[in-house]
Amino acid sequence: MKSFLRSLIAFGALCSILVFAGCRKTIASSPEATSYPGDNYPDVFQSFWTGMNNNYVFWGIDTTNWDNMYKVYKPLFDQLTVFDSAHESKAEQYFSQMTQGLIDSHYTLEFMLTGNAFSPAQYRKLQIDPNYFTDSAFPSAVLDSLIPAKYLDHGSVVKGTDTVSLEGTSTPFTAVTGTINGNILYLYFSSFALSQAGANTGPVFNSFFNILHRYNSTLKGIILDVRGNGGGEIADLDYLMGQMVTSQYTFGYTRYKNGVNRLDYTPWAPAVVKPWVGGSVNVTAPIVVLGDHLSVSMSELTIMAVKTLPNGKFIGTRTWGANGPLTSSVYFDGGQFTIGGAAWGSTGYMFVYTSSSMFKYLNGDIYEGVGVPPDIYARETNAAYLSGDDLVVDAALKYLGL
Amino acid sequence: MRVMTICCAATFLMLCSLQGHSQFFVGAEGGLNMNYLTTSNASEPFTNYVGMRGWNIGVPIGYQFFDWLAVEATPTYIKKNYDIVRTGFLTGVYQKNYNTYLQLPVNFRFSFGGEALRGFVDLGGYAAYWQSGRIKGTEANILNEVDTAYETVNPTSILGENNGYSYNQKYTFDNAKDRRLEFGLIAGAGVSYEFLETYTVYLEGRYYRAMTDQQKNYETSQAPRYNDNFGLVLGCTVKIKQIISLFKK
Repeated sequence: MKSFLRSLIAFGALCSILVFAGCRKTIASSPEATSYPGDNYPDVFQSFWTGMNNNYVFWGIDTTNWDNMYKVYKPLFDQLTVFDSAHESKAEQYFSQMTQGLIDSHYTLEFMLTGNAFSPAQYRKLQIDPNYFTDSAFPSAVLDSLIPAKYLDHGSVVKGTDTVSLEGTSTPFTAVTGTINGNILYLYFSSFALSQAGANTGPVFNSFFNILHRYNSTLKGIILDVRGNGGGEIADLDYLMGQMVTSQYTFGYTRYKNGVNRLDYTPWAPAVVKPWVGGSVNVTAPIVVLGDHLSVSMSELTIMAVKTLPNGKFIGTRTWGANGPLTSSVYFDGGQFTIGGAAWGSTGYMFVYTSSSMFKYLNGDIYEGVGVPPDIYARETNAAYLSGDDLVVDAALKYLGL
Repeated sequence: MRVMTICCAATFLMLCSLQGHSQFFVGAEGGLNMNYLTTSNASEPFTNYVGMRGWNIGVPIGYQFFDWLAVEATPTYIKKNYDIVRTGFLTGVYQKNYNTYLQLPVNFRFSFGGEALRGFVDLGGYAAYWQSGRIKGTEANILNEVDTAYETVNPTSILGENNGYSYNQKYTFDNAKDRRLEFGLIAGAGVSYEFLETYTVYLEGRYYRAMTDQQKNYETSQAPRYNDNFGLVLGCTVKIKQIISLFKK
């Protein structure tokens, strides 16, 4: 009994010491960005900052100091007391300043009250080169007059334009195919919406794949032209590249968020091209992909898928630099989100368009924000176009021995 | 933590000067545990952090001051595992985290009861080093779609939409993120049985409560992560003095 009492007293004393010795940090709930109502600017700011903190997939390699953004911009948003045009202008300026250094080159802020948008990648490119977009003859002028007329064999040309829906937006979809010198197969398409090819573009792809499947052994080369192609559906990767290989291959890796903290990542998963289920051939002739500074997203992934092949070559200029595939954040714990849905309806106050995953090329390089470098540099210019030349196609034909 | 260390050290030195039942003991123990990761995942819909079984072995070394009080340190090799499981449409996506720690618990043992059969409670603290990790799981692979034939089949789970990538690999520590030193508290209760005045076997339920975050404090509004480990330990100790005298005979 005596020893029990002693034990009890000593145990109690030690308990007291240990309780005072240390406590855990409070495990506060970390709400989703969409949980904030968005009834005032400080709430909208908190929602945006939290959403970025949790959903942005590039924190592991992005140098933007997001904690510092909170310290600097929270007091500024606290001063915005009412939603009016003057304050909205200030708010959009602040949001733009906060994000202008982000490397995600898909990244776009869409302000629903004004219809304005801000793309950090576009902002930076125009800062460096004000003619980034205008100094390009691509795509329509070259396609309509130059390539079909000068380069493609007469009688082999099939081209057309349909309207497709990309992420809910109606977009013109143009495609051209034909042969060069009878044995080089050429394909251009303006976006990755091959599954939506309609009455006018469907025959283009039918022609391209028919020739590919029937005359594979006699082809001297294939040219895939994704210059000015803004990207689109991931399923097109297997549909296009998967018809040129007969076995699966890896061309890079993706990883995603798997927790709410910034550095919570899944392991790298291999990005693969699989032989298309509808049939494929083993192309051994050189496959040349043409890309430029306006080749974005799926175009860049396709370029890397081609580069990986032993018979693949990328000719053109460094691409846009938006390689991380994206979809709703519901699927991959990161990516795009809308804030202020409670106060502003289903479109919210602002839509944040951002990648759901980080992409790493097979060689270990991450080209997000910097673009994929060409194997052979060639750039089309307005001057060359006006004099009837496509310098990039010329470089491809030279590579193919013409 | 500093206060606790000083208090423990002072008490230990004071008690070391006492005579009577004083003697050293050493032994071996092993057991099974259930580890839980305590965190906030309110903003991760369809995500559960689930406890996982692990095991531990240790070598208790102690000093018995009185029949009711001992202090012991038990260098331990312990597995603290947990599972992240997605549910609903995301069912099939998971990651099992197998973490190995080298742990040094130091605790007081307060015992009571008869000469041979006694009850006891343990109270103390521990320091642990996160030695290695292994992750095993499946993730949906965005660049490996299932339906590339443009069929219109509604998938019933994300793995019907994107092929899963299954992995089983060593965990690579991230210096910016992972805090490999863990400190925490111990509480335990059990029964022991002494026989031949030399050996003591014991069975104990033990709780290791991490007081330090598994991650470095690298961002504002960080969701902390703590190990909570519940174990059942079976062990045996021998009194060194008795063993020496046995050899002398």
